[in-house]
Amino acid sequence: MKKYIYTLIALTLWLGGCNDDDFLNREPTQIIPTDKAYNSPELTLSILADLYNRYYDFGTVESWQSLSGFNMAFWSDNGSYGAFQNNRWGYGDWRTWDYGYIRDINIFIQGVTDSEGLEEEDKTRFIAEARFLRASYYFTMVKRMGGVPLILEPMEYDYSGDPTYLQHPRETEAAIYDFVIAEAEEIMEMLPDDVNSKSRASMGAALAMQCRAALYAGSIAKYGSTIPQVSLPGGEVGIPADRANGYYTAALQAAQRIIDGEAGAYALYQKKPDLADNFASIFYDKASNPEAIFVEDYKLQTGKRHGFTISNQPRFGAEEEEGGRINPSLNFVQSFETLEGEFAPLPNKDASGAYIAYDNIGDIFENRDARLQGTVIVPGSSFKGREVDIFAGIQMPDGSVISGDSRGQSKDVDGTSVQVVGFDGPIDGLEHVAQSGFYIRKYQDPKDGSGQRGVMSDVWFIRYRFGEVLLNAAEAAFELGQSDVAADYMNRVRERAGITVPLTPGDITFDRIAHERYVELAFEGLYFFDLKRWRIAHLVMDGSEITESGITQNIGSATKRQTQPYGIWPYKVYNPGNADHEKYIYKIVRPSRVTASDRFRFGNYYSEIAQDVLNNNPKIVKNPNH
Amino acid sequence: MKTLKFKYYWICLCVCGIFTSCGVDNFDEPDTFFSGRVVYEGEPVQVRHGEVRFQLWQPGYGDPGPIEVPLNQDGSFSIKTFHGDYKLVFVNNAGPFQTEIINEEQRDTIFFTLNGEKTLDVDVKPYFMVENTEFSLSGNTVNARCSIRQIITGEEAREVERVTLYLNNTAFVSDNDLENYANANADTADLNAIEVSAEIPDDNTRNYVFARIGVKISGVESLIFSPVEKLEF
Repeated sequence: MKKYIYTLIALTLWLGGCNDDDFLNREPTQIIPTDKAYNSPELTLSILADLYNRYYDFGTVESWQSLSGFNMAFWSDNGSYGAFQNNRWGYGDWRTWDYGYIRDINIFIQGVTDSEGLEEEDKTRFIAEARFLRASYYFTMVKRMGGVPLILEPMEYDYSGDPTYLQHPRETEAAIYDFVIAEAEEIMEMLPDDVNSKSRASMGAALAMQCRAALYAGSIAKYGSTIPQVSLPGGEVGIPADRANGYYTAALQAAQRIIDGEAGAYALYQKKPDLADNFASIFYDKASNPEAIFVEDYKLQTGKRHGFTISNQPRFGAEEEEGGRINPSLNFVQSFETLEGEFAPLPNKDASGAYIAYDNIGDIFENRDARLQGTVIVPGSSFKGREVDIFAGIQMPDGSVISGDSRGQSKDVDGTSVQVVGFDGPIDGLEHVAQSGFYIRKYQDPKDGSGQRGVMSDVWFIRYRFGEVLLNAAEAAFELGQSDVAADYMNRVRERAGITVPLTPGDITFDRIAHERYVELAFEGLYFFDLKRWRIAHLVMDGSEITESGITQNIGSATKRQTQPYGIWPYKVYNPGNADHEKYIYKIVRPSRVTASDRFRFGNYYSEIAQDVLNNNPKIVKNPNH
Repeated sequence: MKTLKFKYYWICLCVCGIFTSCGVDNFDEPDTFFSGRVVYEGEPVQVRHGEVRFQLWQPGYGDPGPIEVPLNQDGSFSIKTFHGDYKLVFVNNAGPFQTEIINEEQRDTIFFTLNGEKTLDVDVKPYFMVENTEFSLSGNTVNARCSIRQIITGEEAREVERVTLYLNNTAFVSDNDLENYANANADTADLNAIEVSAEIPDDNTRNYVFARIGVKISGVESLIFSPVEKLEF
């Protein structure tokens, strides 16, 4: 009997359950179909926002290591010492090959183009923005990989079993740069010339990208011949030398259009009377900042915020029990010129070799380029109203040093207990203290709570700014033989830094240009590409160690060896009755965790293309030296 | 007693499973030694440890990928791998030498079959060779002499950028600064009679030192070296 009942129930469900088409054919609630997505400006914008979010930065405030590599800083972090203990990079480092991103952009462009529900005005802007992002990513790829396949339509597989029609060969390196430059030219008129549009593409952003791309291409054309090993016969890597002038001219023109205000009222940020403060503010003042052209923006109390200040705030009095990771190196700090525009090591010893005693701890950094203290927290300077406490020990009259191995330790000195080491260190090998003697100031957020994990920071990351445009213009002008124009642009940047003696056209050399970029654009993710495009990375990082006498030489030379980070530590003099009592001396040190020196190999100039990419597409040729 | 039997039964089954299952779903480990040296006229080419490499490719197994084989500092190499047909190829600009072009079609790729232990000397043509090296100790100083013979001449010829004597307290001696604790550059005016000396650092605690001369060739990343020599006090 039971059997019949069950059979009956099953039969009823089978026959009766499925006749409701409305019940089964429902709109999905998690997926927005294409015809809806591209017919509402809000939905289209939200798709575009995802594409913006996937923008590839080499350096970003979301990852403190990415900004501070190549011995511009020591990393005071237990997990990161390895970077100073091996001496080469893998060939695959810095690789990028995200054609999924390119495809999503291409689908977006196709969707918006075919859309019937969007206003013509919105469509133009959306498409221009997507093309800007696509050109930006091709620019990123060409910088790291050389020429790549140029895919401008979403490709579909026809399931025929033969995918060869989807396999595209690499374009030449020049062709990708040409694409970026031409694309910027076409879209800039479609984008708003609005100075306040910073996190969405504007005309200024397109021009700035065009300027940078043309400058990079120009320098690869000009300097590529110095190492012919880094090129491919098909031009996938390397640009013919005769194209250099054309690219430099394009770079100068693009820069001048921004400088002349064609894209809006961009200018150098000059709001604060204290020049060091002024320089630091460029990177956190988001209220009508005329310097920023295109940024990655963040917002508190949303998912889009970052922990740069948490990772790098001065350890003493920090809002969390961490900080102090990026320690700018002596190599970098000493390269800031004096206010008279001269290169000089930090004067820690007099002519006879004796240490110079300074009354105040920060005095050794006086009379330097204001960008030094705008970029670096030096001993004696303050953050969030609290002076950093950086000193390495007590220098005794007999030449010995009393120091401690925990932050702010006190010890018995001549019968009284005194603090023998700063609360910010430096203590060799102790993470989060200033092991080079310095902390970073760029991108540090002065707002309360920025160093707390629950709050974090909304300081933006500037991708293109007016200062860089001026230096791009100066470099392009110099390479075109217009030293007077170059000197003028350089001086505008240097004047803001408080340097009193302007450069004359005769002063402009390649080393001058390279140095200005090194100090002005430090920690902005550009240094690496400068070293690569000038083809000097293998000279700057040649795998040889830096000696203590070598570190203070050739300051201002573009090819000065930068294989290891050095530091300089202040000591308090203890010598009652002597004139130097309670004064400070400075000693040059190499942090003991630095045991190897970096070596940049020819095969590092262009990243190795992954083996699975080569396997899937036999038309792709390998990069040189891999 | 009944429960005990039951347990034994299961334990036996598990043990059997443990001992047999690995053989069922795992490959056999590689079992063939392939070793040899990179040589010029029978002399091994001395390079930096682990710096110069070649690739082995084995066609016919789905997605290809190279087996990277690095050279030891005396130019020797050895790997353990599977039986099969292999292609041996140096990546471009891999070392301080040029590879031998075997024929137009094959270029410099070497084909060989592995079905048992095999040694192979791979012939290359270095830009220079360091010859007639002599090391001597006098006090705390290592004196070295050598002559440098240019092998590749004509259009492909390159120049000597510098000649350096490297000292270390382990048998690994090279331009990698983890592998030398002292070095000195030589005067390169006469390549047939190079003389150079370097001081042993004061903090050397051992009663021996390893020495080696390296030649940096312009436009080539890897140095070519003399053999390592151990000098005892």
